[in-house]
Amino acid sequence: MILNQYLAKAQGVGVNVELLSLSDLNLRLAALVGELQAKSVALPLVGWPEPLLRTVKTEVEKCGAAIVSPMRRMDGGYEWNRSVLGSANLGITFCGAFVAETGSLAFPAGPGLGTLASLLPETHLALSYAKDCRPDLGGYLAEFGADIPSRLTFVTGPSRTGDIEASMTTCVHGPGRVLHWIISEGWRWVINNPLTSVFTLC
Amino acid sequence: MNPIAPNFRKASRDAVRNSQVIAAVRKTANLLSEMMALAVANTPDFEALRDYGRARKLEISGDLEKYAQSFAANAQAAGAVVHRARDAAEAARLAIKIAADNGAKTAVKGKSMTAEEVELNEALEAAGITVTETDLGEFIIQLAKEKPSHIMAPAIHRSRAQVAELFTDKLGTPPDLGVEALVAAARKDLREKFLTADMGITGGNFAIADTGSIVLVSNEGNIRMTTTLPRIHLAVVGIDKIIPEMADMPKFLALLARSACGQTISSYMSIVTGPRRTGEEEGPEQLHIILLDNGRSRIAKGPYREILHCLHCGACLSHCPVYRTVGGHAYQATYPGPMGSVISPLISGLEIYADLPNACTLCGRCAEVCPVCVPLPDYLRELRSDVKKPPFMMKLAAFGANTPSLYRLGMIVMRRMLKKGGMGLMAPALKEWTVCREPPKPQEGESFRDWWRTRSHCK
Repeated sequence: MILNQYLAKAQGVGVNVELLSLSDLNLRLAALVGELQAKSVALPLVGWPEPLLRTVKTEVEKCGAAIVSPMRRMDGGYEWNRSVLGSANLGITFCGAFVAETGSLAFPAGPGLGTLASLLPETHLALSYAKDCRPDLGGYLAEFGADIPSRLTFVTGPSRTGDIEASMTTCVHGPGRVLHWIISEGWRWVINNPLTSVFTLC
Repeated sequence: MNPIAPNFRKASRDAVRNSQVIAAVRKTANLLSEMMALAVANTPDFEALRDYGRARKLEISGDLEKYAQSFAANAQAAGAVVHRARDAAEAARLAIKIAADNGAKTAVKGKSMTAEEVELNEALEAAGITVTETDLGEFIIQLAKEKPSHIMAPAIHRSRAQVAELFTDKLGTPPDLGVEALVAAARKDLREKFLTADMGITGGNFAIADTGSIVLVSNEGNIRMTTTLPRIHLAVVGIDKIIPEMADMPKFLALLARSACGQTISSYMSIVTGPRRTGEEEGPEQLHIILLDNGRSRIAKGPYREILHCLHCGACLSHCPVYRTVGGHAYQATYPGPMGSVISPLISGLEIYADLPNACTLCGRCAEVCPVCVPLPDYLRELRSDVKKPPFMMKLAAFGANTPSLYRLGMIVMRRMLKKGGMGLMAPALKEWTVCREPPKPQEGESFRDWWRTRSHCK
C-alpha cells in the first residue's frame, strides 16, 4: 500500500507523520500551538477544503495566536506582509499531494497559496487527506501536463546541512521541525495494517 | 583566470603536509562514500538507472544546440528572459548588466559551481554589488575568503573548531561553539539578508527543455529563499545541464541525490518555470537565465564528449584516492578531483592544467561510482598523451613489450643487469619514478617465464 511506503519514507527523513480523524484535529492543534507558544501563525487561506480550513482557523484563533496570510489586493492579486510573516513561529499549510516514492510533500505556487508558510517559520505543519497520496514523482509531475506552476516545491523532511564535518544538523534556513497530519474519517482500512496502526495509536 | 600558473606537483606536496585539512577531507569523504553505498544498495534497479542516464545523456550531448534552443524558447514562453553566453567573461558582463538595469545593489546566492566557473562573485563585487553566499559551506568559505574545495561539500577541508574560530572572528559569536550553535548563528545572520536582497543568484541542477523549467535541489532551504524572496532571480546554467523532458527529471534526480549524499531526494526541490505570475504573492518579478557555453559545444564535438554528461554529484571526488590525499585546493581549478582533472584542462587549456591528468592513479573507482558512467580513467589516460607525446624510449619499450621475442631478450638482459648492479644502473632513467618509491628488488630463484614453462598445460 502506498500510504505505508510514504510513512516509512517520510519518517525516515525526519518528518513527524500522524494519522488523525477530523474530530481529533482540534485537540491536536491546540496542543501544538500551546507547546510552541506560538504568538503568530502563518496560514495561507486559499486552496483548502472548506471544513478543514474552518477547523484550523477557529482553533488557532481560539488559542489566541494571530494569523498571517497572503492578503487580497484591490486588483484581485495577493500579497504577503513580509515583516509580519518573518515573525511567525508556526506555518500551517494544506498539502494536496504527497509522494510515497520519496516521502515528499508537494506545494505548487499560485495566487494566495503562500508556500513561504512552509519555509520561513521554524515549525511547519502540513495537513493532507489520505486519498491525496501519490505513488511516485514521475506520475505526479505528469498530472500537470504542459500546465506547470511558476514554482513547484517538494519538501522532504526538515531543513538540514552536513556542511560542518558532515554532521547532520537541522533548522539551517527553513523549518527544523516538519509535522504531517494525514486526515481521514475512514481509518478502518489503515488500522487493519500492523505498521500503520502504530502511528494511528500514538 | 589564475594569477599564478597552477602547479599541482608543488601544491599537492604542500597539501599532504597539512594533516588537519587531510583529516577533515577524509572524514567527510568517507561518510559521503558510505552514504552513497547504502543508498545504491537500497535501489535494486540502480544499474538500469545508470544505463538509462548514460543513454539519454548521449542523445543530449549529440545535439546540445537543439536542446538549448528548445529550452530557451520554452523558458521565454513561460516569461523568463534567456541570455546566451559564449564564455565566462560574457556571462559576467550579462550578470552585471542585469543587476545594473534593475538597480540591484545586494544579492543572495545559492551554491553554484557554474557561477564559480565564471567567477561571478568577483565580477559583481567589482561592479559594486554585494553578494552573500547562503549555502552554509559556501558562507563559511566566503567569510574565510577561500575557494570551494569540493563541488558538493565546499567547506569539506575545515574542521568544526576552525569554523567556530572563524565565526567568532567575523560574526562575533562566543568561542568554540558546537555545530548546532554555529548553524543557528548562520541562520540568524542570513535571514535578514534573504528578506532584503534585491537579487537572488543560483545555478541550476537541471534545465528541462520541453517546459523551460529550472530544477534546483538543496537540503538547507537557502535555494528556496533565494528563488522566492528577491525581486530578481538570476540562474546561471551550463548548457550541459539541459535534459529533454520533465519525464526524464525524476530519473536523473534519483541518480544525483543517491550519488551526492545517499538521499532519495534532497530536502527541498524547486521546479522554477518563469517568474511570478499575475496575482501571485511570491516569487521574483523577473527571472533571467544565462545559458553558459564556455567551451561546452567544442567539447561535445571532440573525443571527451561524455564529460558533459557529468551531474556534478561529487561522487568521483569523494572516492578518489588522490583527492582524498591532497584535498580540493591542490588542484587550483574550479572543478577538482577526477571530473575536474578532465573538465578543467578542456575548458581552460591543457597548457594551464597539464599536471591534472597525471593527478590520478588510474585505479578506476571514479568510473565505478559515476552515476552516468563517464569513462574518467580512459579520458585521463588519453589526456596525458595529449599533453605530452610519449617519449622515444617509451615507444621503444612499448614496441618491445608487444614483440614476444624482443620481450624475452629484454627480460634476460634486465635480470643480468639487476643481479650485477641492482637498480642502481637504471637509476638515472627511472629517477622520476623512484623519487617517492622504493625500486623493486630482483626476483630470487626462477623467473615467471621459467616457472610457467614447467606447468603441464603449456607443454
